[in-house]
Amino acid sequence: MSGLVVSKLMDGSRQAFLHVDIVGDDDGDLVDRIVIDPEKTFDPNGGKVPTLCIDKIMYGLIGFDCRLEFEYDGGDVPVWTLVRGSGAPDFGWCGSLPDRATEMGGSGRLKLTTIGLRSDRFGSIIIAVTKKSHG
Amino acid sequence: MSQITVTKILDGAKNSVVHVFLRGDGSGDLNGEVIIDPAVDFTPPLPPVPELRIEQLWYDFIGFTGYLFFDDLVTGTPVWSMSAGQANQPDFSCFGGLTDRSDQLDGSGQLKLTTMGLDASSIGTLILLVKKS
Repeated sequence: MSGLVVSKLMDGSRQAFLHVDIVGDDDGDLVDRIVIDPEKTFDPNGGKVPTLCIDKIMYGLIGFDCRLEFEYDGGDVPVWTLVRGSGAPDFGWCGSLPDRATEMGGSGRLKLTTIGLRSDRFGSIIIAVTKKSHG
Repeated sequence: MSQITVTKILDGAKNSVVHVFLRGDGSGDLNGEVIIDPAVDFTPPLPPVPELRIEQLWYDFIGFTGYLFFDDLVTGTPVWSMSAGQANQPDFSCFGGLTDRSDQLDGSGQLKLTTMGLDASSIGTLILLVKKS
């Protein structure tokens, strides 16, 4: 079966880890697919919807690249580009990558777009996020 | 000679290390080859789900790519996609390792490997560090 499957590996009060499995098919690239929706992805924590900070990404992408963005009506805010192959960028050294769009009315959703996904290509991503409450 | 040789390097009470050597012979890709079967590979045997946690992988594949997944009745529970041409050491221990997320009634607990592009010129090595829950 092709497409995008997101599963929670861990969902704590402050941190969460998500596993993303991507399998290509004849439909080609995935465009603006929601990977994390803070309103729906996480277990409710006192009714507050968290803002996300990306702490670390681990990935193995076979034959295609990926782009991660936070959703925003005025133009999605780029987070990171994952180049085909493997990697484990750790953003802890700069205090993680926060969703800067939420302050401007962004939805807080993290979206994924692939570049070069075909039927014989596949990939895995783990995303570590910190939740920050904002009301 | 088989295209795949699986060897237990360590089988302790809590941890196990498994070495997988792959050498293509021209017979084509592996499709869901069992790497670890908790029911037969450990002493004492483990029940199926969710007994294994993959804490760390080391791999270096030349000329092919690989896909690890836990067996279940549907499509398999994805674990990791392994690219070719570079040595990699993804470490999943920071969140407790990658568990078998299969439904307890559907999963056999077997960890399986599928390759893409394995041919007579391909060679590769994979080491897995797994924790027994």
